[in-house]
Amino acid sequence: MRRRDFLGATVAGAAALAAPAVHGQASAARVLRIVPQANLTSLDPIWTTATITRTHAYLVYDTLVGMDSSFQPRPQMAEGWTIEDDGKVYTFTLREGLRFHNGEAVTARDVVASIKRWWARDGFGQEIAKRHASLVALDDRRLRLTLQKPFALTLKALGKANASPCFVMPESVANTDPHTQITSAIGSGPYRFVREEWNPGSRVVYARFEGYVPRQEPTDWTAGAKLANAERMEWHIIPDPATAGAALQSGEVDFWEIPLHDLLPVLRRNRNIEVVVRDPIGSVGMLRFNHLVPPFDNPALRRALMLAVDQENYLRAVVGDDPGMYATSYSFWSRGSPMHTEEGSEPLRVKSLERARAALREAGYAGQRVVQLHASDFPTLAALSQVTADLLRRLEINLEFVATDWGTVVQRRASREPIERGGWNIFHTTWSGPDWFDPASTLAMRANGTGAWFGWPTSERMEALREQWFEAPNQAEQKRIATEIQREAFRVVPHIPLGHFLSPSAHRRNVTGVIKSPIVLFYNMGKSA
Amino acid sequence: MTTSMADRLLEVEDLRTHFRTPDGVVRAVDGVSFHIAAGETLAVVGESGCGKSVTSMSILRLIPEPPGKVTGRIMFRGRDLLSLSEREMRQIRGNEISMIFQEPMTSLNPVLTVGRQIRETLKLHQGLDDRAAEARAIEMLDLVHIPEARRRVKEYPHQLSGGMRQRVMIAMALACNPKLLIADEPTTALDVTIQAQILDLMRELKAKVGAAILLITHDLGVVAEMAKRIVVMYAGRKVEEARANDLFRTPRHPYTRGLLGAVPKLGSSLASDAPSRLAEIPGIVPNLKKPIIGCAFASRCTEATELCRKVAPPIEAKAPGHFVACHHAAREAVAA
Amino acid sequence: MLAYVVRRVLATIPVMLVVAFVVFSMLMLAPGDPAAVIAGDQATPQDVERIRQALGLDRPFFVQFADFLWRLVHLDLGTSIFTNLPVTHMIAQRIEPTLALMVLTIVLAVSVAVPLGVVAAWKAGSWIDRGVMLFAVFGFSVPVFVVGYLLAYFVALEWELLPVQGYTPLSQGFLPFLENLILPAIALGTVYIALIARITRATMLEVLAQDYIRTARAKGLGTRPILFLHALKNAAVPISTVVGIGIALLIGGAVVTESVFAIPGLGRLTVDAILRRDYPVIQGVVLLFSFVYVLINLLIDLLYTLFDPRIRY
Ligand SMILES: Nc1ncnc2c1ncn2[C@@H]1O[C@H](COP(=O)(O)OP(=O)(O)OP(=O)(O)O)[C@@H](O)[C@H]1O
Ligand code: SF4
Ligand SMILES: [Mg+2]
Repeated sequence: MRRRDFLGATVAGAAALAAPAVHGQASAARVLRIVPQANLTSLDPIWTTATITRTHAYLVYDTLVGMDSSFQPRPQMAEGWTIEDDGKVYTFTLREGLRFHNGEAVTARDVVASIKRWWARDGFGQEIAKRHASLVALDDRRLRLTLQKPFALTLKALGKANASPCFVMPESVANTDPHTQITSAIGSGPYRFVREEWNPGSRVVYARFEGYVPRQEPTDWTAGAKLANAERMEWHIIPDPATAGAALQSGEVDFWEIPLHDLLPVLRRNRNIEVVVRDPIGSVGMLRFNHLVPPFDNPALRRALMLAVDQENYLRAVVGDDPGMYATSYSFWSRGSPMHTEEGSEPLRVKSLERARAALREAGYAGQRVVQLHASDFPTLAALSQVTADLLRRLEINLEFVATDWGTVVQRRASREPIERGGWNIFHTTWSGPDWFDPASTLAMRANGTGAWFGWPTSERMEALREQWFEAPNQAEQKRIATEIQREAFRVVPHIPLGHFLSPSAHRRNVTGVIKSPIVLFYNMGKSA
Repeated sequence: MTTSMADRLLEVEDLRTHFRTPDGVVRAVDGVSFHIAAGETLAVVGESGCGKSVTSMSILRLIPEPPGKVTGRIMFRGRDLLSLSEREMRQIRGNEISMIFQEPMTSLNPVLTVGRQIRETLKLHQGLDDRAAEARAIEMLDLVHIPEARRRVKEYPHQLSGGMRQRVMIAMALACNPKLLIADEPTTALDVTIQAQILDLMRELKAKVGAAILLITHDLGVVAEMAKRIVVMYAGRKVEEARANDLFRTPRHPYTRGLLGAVPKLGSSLASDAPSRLAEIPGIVPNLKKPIIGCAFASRCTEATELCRKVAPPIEAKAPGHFVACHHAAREAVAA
Repeated sequence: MLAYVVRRVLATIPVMLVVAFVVFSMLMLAPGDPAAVIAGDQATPQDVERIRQALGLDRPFFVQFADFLWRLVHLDLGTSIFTNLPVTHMIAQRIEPTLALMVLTIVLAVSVAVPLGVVAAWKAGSWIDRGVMLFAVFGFSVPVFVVGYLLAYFVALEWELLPVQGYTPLSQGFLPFLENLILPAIALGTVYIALIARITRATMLEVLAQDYIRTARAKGLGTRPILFLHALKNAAVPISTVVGIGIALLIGGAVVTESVFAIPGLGRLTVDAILRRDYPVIQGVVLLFSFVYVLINLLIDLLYTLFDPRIRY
């Protein structure tokens, strides 16, 4: 007996009262229902670096420059560009017929304002900002960026797809202070945000933007055609993984971005469901040290701990025993990146408690208290953190394991106080592969002390090498410098890389057009009836 | 005065009501027989716990079964009540036999109006509609002399005094013109002046309605005023039965004599003669959980003999219409 | 009566003020930093600090509290730090599912639990009674989410009788609305049914031993009017008290139920807001819940007068 019949029979009398069920405007086949990895709370992709907001932004906004699967910048909103004056002058021409969702044409002024808001916040953007002489709209369709000296990575920065990409908004919106959240979602992307149906924490709805003109080239990550194959896209935020799994099995949703690893076997067994590795690079785990407070302000201690780390233990704790779902990576750069190298990684391959114990003793560890922050509400982070705690205990380190929720961890990790006054020594987090791509994208590899990311490592050499990297004329030179940075990082140990793990997606078999990319992209997806 | 079988409205024969409890069977009523003629008033007296209430509840089949178990025969207008179904019994309760209780303060439902509680019976047994039942309820309240009946029917029990509540109970009990009214200590909880009023009312209504009354009481004064015949119970059994004036004048059972508190004065008038309360008798009532061997009263009886302790005295006519269960009760020449 | 109601409603104001203060101080003293959550993992500490300033979270406690009170006086609950939407708007979006779930659960629970409790009391000691009591123990000891999962698994996934999750607004038809709410209401109602059935049984046992029940039986009334009119009306006051107290239990359970069945209600809004330290939303929801709680208790006090004529205000 099917669902309708059951209630229909039971509540036959009430049926007369019931209005026909109206499921949105489009028929079921044209509505794509997605369970995203998180709840969309903020609509401003410059204000927050939250991945879910970026995923939202890639539907709603377009970018001047896209990035293809070989990590090369490609024109997206730009029809093309010219580079003159030894790489100091970039002139972009916009495609014809670009429109915002409010019907207005996209002009070069909109792009200029958007770039300026972006580079006030984004680290890679700041590299252009500090080198630029001027950025102006020449006319409605052309804008010009003039640099003080050549910067080879200009296009890569404009086309970056991790953290905060350079999304184009209407000028009036882009003029908002970069530290103030915008509430508008008017872009020129393939999907229109349906504000009336936005119910934060429950539902986000997008409708195909009929005014969007996709590029002619085939879709290639954020380059090429962006197709709105589904007429309507609904994000169903389902906080309970078991419920999300059940909803996918019953066909109440079509696509689940990141199923809990434990549930994958069940989903694989279902004939109507396909489990796909959408992101071939996956995420990387990190054990982050606080470099300001004892005992891990001592680099010898950080190096000593590294000797005990066995990435496989961490990876299996996260994904289980399926070896296809993880890969070790003895590198500070992500797999899949041209910068990836395992040179200098010998300490991370030692995997010996004995050696670590000896090194700890030698480094002068004498039972000082170590505060580890643990977020119990994110299964992945909790798993990584548990492995470290176990390791520390076996190394007879005087561990204070502080289990809270992520909201508390993010606050406490900002404290630079000694541990007696609410400080910390260790926490864990994960990053998507592109966030560890190269010195430009890898926030965690900054080593400029209190200006750096939480943990505040200091290494003049790493910073100097980073500067050199930006000036490198070609990829071979970039790689050489990145390798140097890594050697230094294995000495400084800003954090310990814990390896890559894949987070497959699961979807109903009739879902089409899933883009395989380390960046979450929901356009192109549709349903074959 | 003897009544022929045909006149008998209610005939209780060898009634036994036992309760199964965790520590033994309580023989609350153990072989009681009596009868009431139409329109007659029979009084049942005895110390607290002797089984008076259980007897009356047994007649209406209000004893919860289990733990209770009622056996014997209860013939009412030719039918054995013990063989009726619960449904048939319900048609008798409140209709042909109704009951009023000792506790007027708690016997009315506190959350329903007085009118509603009277109407309920009328609708149930007489098939009256709301309006007719309302009119009849007011009429009944008038009948039991409740002033402003029209207003009172809308009131709740807590707005009435104890005496008024007992009047309401009587009104409710008589609403369907029952053949038998069981009144279980109807005045015990009331002030002396109110008691007299209620008794007057009962007598008055009895005359009007013509119902027989089974009057259960501690109060010998009440018995003297109301009843022609008396049954005395002890430890779940009937120990003496006689016409009222016979019993007051010549109580033959030592227990009855104890109750009356003194050797009766011959020739004195009934009303002044009867003590208003039962006298205290030294000693304690036997445990009803154990089978009683011999005379139940033997442990407290000043005249008890070896025989008394071994053999239970049968109930026998010791004078015309005067039945006693005592080995040593004086026997008169009995005609019947 | 009216004067009483007005007095009671006015009396909620100081209560609400205290609640507001307690909630506010708890939020401010508890660890967690919305600015850090907002900024995302790839923000620099400097960005986080700038956002904190922009949100006014760096101001002294009492300045923030005064600001909060001032807005409250103007019935303004502020805007969510994260979505920038007015808290009143976010609550309005979420109120229907929670209200619907609560009402359905209460109706379901009362209409199941009261008869169960009555029958158990009437047949005290019988297997029916023991069955009901066993169910009550089960209802108390099995967590809401377990009941929820079991229901979702069997009823929705295996037998395909009802949807697994989600919510359909009443405006889209009564049947779809009901379809989505039945399982959550059962899951949420289990504890509540246990609670009400137990108190009903206990109260009824006491009431059934009362003299007026004997009177009712002596009148020839059948079992049903005795149990459900004469006895139940007397038991109604304690039962409705527990129904009222149980609503607090229900509010807690609703949070879990809404998560398990992905119902976009206030419970989930609260949890999300707490995890994210979205202070204005937490404050708004807690104030609303406490107001509703106070209101429900007032309502129940007024209900008493309906059940028991001896109670007057
Ligand atoms: N449900 C019951 N279970 C066990 N024993 C019972 C039950 N009901 C009555 N009894 C016992 O039966 C005996 C007779 O009780 P009953 O109420 O008939 O006394 P009574 O003569 O009416 O006394 P009183 O003058 O105090 O009203 C008592 O010992 C009492 O304990
Ligand atoms: S039989 Fe014996 S014990 Fe019993 S009352 Fe008569 S004299 Fe007393
Ligand atoms: Mg009695």
